[in-house]
Amino acid sequence: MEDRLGVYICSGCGIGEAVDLEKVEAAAVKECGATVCRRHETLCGSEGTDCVLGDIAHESLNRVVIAACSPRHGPDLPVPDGVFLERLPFREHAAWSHEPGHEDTEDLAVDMVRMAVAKVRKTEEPGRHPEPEAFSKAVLVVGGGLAGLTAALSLADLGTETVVVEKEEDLGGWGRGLAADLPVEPPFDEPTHSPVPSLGAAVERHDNVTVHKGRTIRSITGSPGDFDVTLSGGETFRAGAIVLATGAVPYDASKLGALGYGKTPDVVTARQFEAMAALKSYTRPSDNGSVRSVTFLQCAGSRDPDHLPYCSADCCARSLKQAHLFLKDDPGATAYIVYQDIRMPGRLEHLYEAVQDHSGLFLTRGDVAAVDEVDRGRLRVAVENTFLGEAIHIESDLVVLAVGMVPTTAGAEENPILNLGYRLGTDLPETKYGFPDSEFICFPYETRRTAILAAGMVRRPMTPSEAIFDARGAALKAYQALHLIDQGMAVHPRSMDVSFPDFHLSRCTQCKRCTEECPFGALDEDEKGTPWPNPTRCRRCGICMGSCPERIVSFKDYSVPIVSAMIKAIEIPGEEEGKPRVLSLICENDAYPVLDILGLYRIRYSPHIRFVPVRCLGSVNVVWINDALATGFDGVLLFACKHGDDYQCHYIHGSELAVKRMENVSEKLEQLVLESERVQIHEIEMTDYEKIPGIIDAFMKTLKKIGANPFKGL
Amino acid sequence: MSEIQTSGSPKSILVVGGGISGMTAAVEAAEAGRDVYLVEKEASLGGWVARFKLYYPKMCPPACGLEVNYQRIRRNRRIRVLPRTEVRAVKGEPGAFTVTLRTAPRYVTESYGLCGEGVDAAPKVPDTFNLGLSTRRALHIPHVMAFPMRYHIEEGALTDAQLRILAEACGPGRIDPDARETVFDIQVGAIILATGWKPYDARKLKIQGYNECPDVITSVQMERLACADGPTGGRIKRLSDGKPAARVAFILCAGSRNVNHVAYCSNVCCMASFKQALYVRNADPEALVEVFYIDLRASGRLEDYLVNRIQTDDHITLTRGRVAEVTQERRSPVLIVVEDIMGGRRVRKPFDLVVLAIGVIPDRLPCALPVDLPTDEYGYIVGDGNGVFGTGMCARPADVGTCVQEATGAALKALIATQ
Repeated sequence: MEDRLGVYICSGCGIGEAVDLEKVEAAAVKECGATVCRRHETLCGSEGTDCVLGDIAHESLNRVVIAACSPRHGPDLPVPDGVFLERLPFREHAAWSHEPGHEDTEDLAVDMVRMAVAKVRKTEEPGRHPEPEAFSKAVLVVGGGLAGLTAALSLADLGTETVVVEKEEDLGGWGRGLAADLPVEPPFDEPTHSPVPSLGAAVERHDNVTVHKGRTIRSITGSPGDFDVTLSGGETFRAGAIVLATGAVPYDASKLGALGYGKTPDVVTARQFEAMAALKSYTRPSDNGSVRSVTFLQCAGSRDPDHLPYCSADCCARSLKQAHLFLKDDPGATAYIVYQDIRMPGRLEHLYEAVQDHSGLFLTRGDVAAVDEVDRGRLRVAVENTFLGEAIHIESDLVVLAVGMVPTTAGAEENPILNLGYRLGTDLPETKYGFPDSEFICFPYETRRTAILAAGMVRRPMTPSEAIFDARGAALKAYQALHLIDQGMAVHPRSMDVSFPDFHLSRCTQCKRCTEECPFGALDEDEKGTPWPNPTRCRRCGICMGSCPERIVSFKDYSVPIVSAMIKAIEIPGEEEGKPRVLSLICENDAYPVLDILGLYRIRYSPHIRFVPVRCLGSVNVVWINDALATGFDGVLLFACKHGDDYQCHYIHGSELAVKRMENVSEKLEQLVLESERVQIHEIEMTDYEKIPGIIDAFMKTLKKIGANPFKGL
Repeated sequence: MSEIQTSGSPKSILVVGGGISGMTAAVEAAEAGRDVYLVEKEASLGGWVARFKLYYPKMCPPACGLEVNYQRIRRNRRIRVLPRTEVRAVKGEPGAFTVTLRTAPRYVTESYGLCGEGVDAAPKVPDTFNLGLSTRRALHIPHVMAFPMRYHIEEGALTDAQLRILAEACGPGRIDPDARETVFDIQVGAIILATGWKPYDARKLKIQGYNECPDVITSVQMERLACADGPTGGRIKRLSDGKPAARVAFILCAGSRNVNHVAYCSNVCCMASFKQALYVRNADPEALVEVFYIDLRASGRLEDYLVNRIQTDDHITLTRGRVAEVTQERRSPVLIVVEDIMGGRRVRKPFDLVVLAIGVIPDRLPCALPVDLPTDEYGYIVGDGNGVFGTGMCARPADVGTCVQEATGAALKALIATQ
């Protein structure tokens, strides 16, 4: 079908005064070949919207450019399928950020229209990804502890077929056989029965759940919506999504010799003490003598850079609970707790208050200097840095170490849990200290593997009540992933995007960059090393597109040719005009809003810069830089998100990859005898809007110093 | 974001509160295929997090995650966002609630756009986004990261006569002084309450000097002082004389863990104070910070992210102690008397600025419910089921990450209740 282009220009909000719209209209009609070109003074209002929608219907427009307010501020037009609409931030990025009436502002405005037209002309209908056989709507829950059982029951209640795999012979995880558990409901002031037995029973009873006990996962092949799972007992089934709730295990106490562990059997772990409390039989392992006094040592391994640098979250509460049980069972006994800080977040404070009522409980803030065996087999704990600054000694029959917790995913490279058949590894990629998380503030469930959600203690140390709602959240995300995948849609952050990358494999040179650089492990390989795309694993970031030296990866609505066409649509003035041109590739989520904010504040910066938003800086193909320099741009400025351990990139390492690729670009520039300063990448945060004009100014000054691009006009 | 064409159905979900919890619950439910009404009493989504400079422990800007959520909402035709709207009444039963909503008049018509013409003719009013620390024109956008991004006039901010004068100044048809509220009913099967929190009233804290000392502020006010779009353009300075704050004290558990005020631990104040200590340090490398605390509560990963960094900063002193007295003579330093628990002595120290890590209390739905929804003695929603679910800070004091987790779980509960 032929392109029928409509260009709509808003003159409101100061645009008409800042820009000579007749020039823009002339460019739209004569140069860009618009079938319809209209000007309106309030394009964001219903009259303006009706005008555009009416033309689409009556003039059979299929390409529409709206030069008005930013797409972040203006209305969304419900355009029919097959119509490609691009909304230009004429107001924020042109009229409000540059000198009204200046020819540079006009040049910018006209270039913006040219770029948008180039984009919509090259865009094609995404279309659905090839229909696989019917997707599985079942969810695999790995781990039958508190989090796993909660997730399974939630999913089952939602009508989802759920399969629970537990490696032990019984469900329940650590909650099994507890004397009492931490409260998960108000009034939070005393230990209660663990919710695990009744949860386990409910899960086993539920028609929508199948439970496999005493089983681990031998292999999982396939992709979201279509995983084939094989268990250690040879059982096989399909699942669409996975909840990983394998929890955490205590840190290896044998490494805690400094706290006396291993020196005498009377220094025990919290788990060992829990078993005594369950039997209400407190005896010394060394001589079976009865225990009338206990010293709990907090942060055993936790908050310690030599062991676990993090806090294990529930040990304070668990030790207070154990002290409470011990003193209730033996009111004449004594319990000491040596701590750094008592961490009873939120309403667990009430348990802390209640436990303090025991007259036999002594809480001491301090650092443990030594644990020794003294006369009659008694243990002596030397404590320094107490409240009063003194060193004290505490003697007791037993010492209990509140040992920190390690996620089960730590070391999954040697001991795989999921055994995924992914090119990039058998399990969720580990981050610091072995946790599988990727973004634990804004989007806590976004692991680096689509439709595989971690929940509970495996994800981060947390209390039981947190684990319960964490599991419900993961269950929702698993259900939601299946719902979106079924419609050919992406999950977060480009949720509902139906585009997906096409691989023109006949031109592939098997360099493997795409398979290795995909943050989500979406690509596998055949024996020759040719990428094997798995569309349902894909998050549509375009990092594969950025990585490909042969440029064989494209989305129908975002591709190397589309962006190249936008770059080439920009008019490059001759050197004699003294108007440099800079191409700026910016992250659409973080840098783009920053430009809108600059517009709202009417903060000015160089009008010689042309912005092209990209899905992620990791999707920037270096050919765009080459195109820009070959076309005569004087420089290329990239705005990426923060990378490193505390990355802010929504595609994990997209911006990091961009930084690396730009290092290679610098080398290439030098080979071409072009100054490497012509290409710069800056990391910015959204709060950095005040810094942007400075960065742009400095860049323009650098360009002025090194002079115009010698390729200009060639 | 678009209109849900019907007025709801038994499968629709109402989310009350457009802060991070409500927004999360709404977008997660909608992406799972449900129609959602998201009701927010302010003119923009974002709630408290839109007022914060950075999130702990990663020290990253909330705007980054807000933007992702805004775009998810924009793309999703199943969410209808209703700003400036409050719940007036709820009737019916689980699976079939009739909710009466009231949208306040905006007074600004669609033809106004964001042109800003005539804004200077609008009287100045206290800037609620800046928690009253500054003023702004009565005709304004909520803030630079607002969603939706529109000018509005707060109901009741101007008299009828003032509205008419402003209408003249803004050009024909742009201000409608006769705009009235809209009251309408929607049908939903389940309701998620994410009404959030408010800071405990610092004026009730006698010892901490909030009433008498101009340079004693709360932690939420500190957030606004640190924000580039805040009342001081991001410069952390004294409110009394505008001088830079080179010595800043943070008093933790301001109200919290105190049976006379907020009996529970507010859960967020230790970390928020550490974060703000870094605001001070990053703004002025010479600045000195002292934190007065009872227990450093940095559960789980908060410890390795932020506490180590605070403990190794030689410009930050951590003092375990209870504050006994806070005083300030006009324009002089604020004096803190503290019982230093570790040192075992009583000391008096001067500071330019004192920040009270104020406790949090739940914010409530302003109307009755037809179903039983238990709350605890502090007003936190503790019950479940009956088609109404509490999530986020109106259910427990929790940090942003935890609120997001819980809100995602609340979406699941609402889905189950409406299947």
